Amino acid sequence: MPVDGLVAIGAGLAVGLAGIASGMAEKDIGAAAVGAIAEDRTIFGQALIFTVIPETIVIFGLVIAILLMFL
Amino acid sequence: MLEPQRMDRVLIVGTKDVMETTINALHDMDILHLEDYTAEGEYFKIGKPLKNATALSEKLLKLRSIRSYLGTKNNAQFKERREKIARELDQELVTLESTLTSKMNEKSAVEAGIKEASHREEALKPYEALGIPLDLLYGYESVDVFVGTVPKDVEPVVKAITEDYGLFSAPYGKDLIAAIFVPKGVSSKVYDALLKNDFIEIEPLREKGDPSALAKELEKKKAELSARLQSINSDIMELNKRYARFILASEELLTIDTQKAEAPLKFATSENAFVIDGWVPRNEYEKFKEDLLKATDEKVYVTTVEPEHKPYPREMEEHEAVHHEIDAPVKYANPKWMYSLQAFIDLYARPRYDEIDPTAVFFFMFPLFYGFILGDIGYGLLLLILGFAVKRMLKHSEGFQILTTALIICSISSIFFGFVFGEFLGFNMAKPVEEGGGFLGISLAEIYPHGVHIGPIGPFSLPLERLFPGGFEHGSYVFGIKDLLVFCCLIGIAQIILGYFFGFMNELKQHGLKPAILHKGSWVFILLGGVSMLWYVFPLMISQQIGALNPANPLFLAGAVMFLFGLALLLMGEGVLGIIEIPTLMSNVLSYTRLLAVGMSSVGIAFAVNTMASMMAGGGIIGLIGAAVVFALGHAINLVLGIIAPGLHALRLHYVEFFTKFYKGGGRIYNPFGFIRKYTED
Repeated sequence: MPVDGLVAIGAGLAVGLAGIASGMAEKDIGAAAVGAIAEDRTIFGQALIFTVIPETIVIFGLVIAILLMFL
Repeated sequence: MLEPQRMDRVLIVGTKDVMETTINALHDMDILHLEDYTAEGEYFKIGKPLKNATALSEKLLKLRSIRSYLGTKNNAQFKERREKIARELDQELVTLESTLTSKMNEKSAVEAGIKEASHREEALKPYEALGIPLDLLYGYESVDVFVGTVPKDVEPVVKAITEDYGLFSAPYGKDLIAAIFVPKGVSSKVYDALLKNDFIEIEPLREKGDPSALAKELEKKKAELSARLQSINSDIMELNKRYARFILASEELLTIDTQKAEAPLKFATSENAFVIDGWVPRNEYEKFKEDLLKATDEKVYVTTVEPEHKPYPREMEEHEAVHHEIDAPVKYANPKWMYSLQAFIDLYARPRYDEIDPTAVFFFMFPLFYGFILGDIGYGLLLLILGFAVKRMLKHSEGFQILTTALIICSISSIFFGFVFGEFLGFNMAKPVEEGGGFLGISLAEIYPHGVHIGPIGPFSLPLERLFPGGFEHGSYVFGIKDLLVFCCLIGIAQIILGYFFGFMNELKQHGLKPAILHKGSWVFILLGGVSMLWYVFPLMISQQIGALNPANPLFLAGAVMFLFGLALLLMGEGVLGIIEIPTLMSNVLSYTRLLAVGMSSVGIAFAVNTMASMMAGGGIIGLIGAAVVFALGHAINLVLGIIAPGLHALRLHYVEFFTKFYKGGGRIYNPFGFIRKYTED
């Protein structure tokens, strides 16, 4: 279906800004997690969990975008 | 399947004269997980290693350093007789060591020679440029000679001091190389003047002969030495080839013997007796006992003891509750065909002994999630082929065997969901060809029931039906996004509730009924209550009729009651801090929408690639070639992303959203006393 101008921009902003926010949140955790795994490989599981926690932010953005575009 | 292998705690008691026999028997059985004896008392001390332990470990150390020099790889396949290796070991080890040492010495001597020659070559270079025989540059009675580099011609500088001089210069790199002959009387004056003009003296060579002839000689010598080095290296490689079997087999043999010799360090021993403490899988205990008694002529006493229940030793305990945890080593009790995905559980953490082992659930859910995300017949088939190809190619790599098996399982699921979504390399197979669907004129539109409506399910009409009057329509993502979005959240809710159910079972086993209800049950009520309230409120919000909200609606009312009941339980169990956690529950559920989101991105890329290729294909032969390149490259990139992204996201949903509800992990890995022999046999 065609998505009207401002709605499309809004959807784009929702995903884009949320993506930037996730990236900013994830970069420090990721760096620390890699450092920690280098010292002790057994904590891979926990490290992965901590790293991907902020990823949910961008998923929220995506959900909003989908709601905007398809509802 | 849902819990690790049950273990029996075993005590073996005997007199010291049968200790070695017992150790040998236990090692051969490879089944007893030894428990270290640490509590030294008046009678029982930690055992001493057998008397050959030091000699064995020295030999092992020697062998391992030889192996690391030679770079012997353990990818060979053979079996040696144990007795043969044992007989030859000492003799061969000495021969090998002396041969290798002499080779290594020779090698380092040759290497030093090459280094020295290069150094001399470097020193000769300026003299070579100058071209004056070396013996003319020193040894005069009344003349001093300075040799060095200068940035520009220094003849005027020398001339200003004395008329009586000889100067030879030649270009050398960016500078000049100059030899200046002056009478001894004025030499210090000349030297000072030269220094002021950036003269840098070079190391004098007190030698004879023509420098270029000397350089040639050096080059020849270096070439000879290099050839020698090469032959030594190939000798060492030859040595590696010749001794590889011996090295691998004897390393295995020595490792086994060292393990046996050092085993008493884990035993409790008195003057005449020893006690071995350990764990044996419950289903193998009877056979274990029988075998051990037979091997030792019934001279040892074997019995099981009741393991202690106590707080888990490796964590701070948060609830003041009864403890029923046993710290036994953990061995998975899953069928063999689950091994590939079981590795992902180990990657997170080995389950505890008194904890639910989520492998079985993971084994079914992970491929389903993966397939749901990647759902594409084409990609699935490609991954299936890739999986089998890599599996065949890397037969000896255990890690790749596990990964490829996981990939094969996941790709089958991907093909299945490909049919559900009607997708082939991003083409919509559910649409008839005449409406622009299908791939190369082939479409599967006939097998999809179009316009199917999901009617009311259960007592309440599904909001799917009210939200989207079109109902659930089969086909590619582009058709059913709204339905799939809700569907993903439902999957999330189901999995999270399953997680809380497992958590409830764990708490029940470890701490009793009350903590189980307060800590895990409360969350289930909150989740179910919240969901059923939203089920009613959300459609009203979307259609902007929130004013029409009727609190007496049974769905809303029941939800609110459950939510408040859960909240009360949570407050009792975890206090106010628990309330802060409630929004996490919502983000957990919404997190499952990534199943759709990541999948859509993959479809998006595939769709873009197809569109680009079809646009280019219209432009004659060159366009056709370009289209083929874009098509192949684009899908290859998407396929690589298609292995990584769905895998990671499906894994994350399990690790973060599912496991955190019940799984603590951190169990000790079951590591029986023994050795899996690869290169030796009796």
